[in-house]
Amino acid sequence: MKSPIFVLKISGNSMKPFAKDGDYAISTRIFLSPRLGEVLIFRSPLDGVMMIKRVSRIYSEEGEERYYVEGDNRMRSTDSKAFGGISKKEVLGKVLFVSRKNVT
Amino acid sequence: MGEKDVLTRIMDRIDESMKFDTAYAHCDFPCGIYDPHLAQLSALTVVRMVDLINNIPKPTASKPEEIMDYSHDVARAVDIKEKHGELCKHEVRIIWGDYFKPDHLKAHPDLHEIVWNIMKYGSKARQEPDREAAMKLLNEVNKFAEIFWQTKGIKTKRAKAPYEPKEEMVYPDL
Repeated sequence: MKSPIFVLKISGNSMKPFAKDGDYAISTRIFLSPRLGEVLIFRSPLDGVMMIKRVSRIYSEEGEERYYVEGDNRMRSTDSKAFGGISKKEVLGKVLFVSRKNVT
Repeated sequence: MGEKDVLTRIMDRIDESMKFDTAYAHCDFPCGIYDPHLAQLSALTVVRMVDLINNIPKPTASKPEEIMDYSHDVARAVDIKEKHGELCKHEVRIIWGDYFKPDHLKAHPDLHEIVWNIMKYGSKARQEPDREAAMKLLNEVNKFAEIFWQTKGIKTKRAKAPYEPKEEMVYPDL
């Protein structure tokens, strides 16, 4: 059985200032439906790699709830602008908090 | 630069020994469009130019107008070969650097070697009108294309290009 809490290392800066390259995302697999403003871990519909983005819009498509996800650093983010909304089955977890590489 | 907090230091230690998986916060321009076809066409063009260069009728030494025509045709073909050799390498570098991720490499551990071969054969094919080097370039780019489409879950097929030099190409079976 997979652990309910998992840790991922973040690569890239599209989630600045919330998280930056090299930070750790402490995340959980246990949650109900994603909510607006939450930060999710999910599989990219483009290439299947794990990504971290924030839910900026929730909408329904053919009866299924979909989540439009964007980087906090919106001008520098590959996100739903490129691959559209994601479905719940693509969501792997929700970020609880971030352990930052440097405390300033 | 500030100091790391205790939790992050613990995380660093754990990461050193067991390596956490990576979550990507991509920050490139979000086009999301990658396709190895241009690299394949460029490699095929290099093969075609080598064939043309080697088959341009040799001029008669005593006829300056033939020498001029020959030089002109060779110069143009070499220029196209140069440009497409570099274009092929450029396209492969973009896909390799921007699209492929560590998860892909785990599934295709020969990826780096194939890219390295493309860089090497691409340069060799530019340096000389060498058909063997040009074919090696094309073969490696075809392997690269197969891996690319596999990562997309798309089957591929191999078929002869329907135009000269009619060499084998990898196509997505859409």
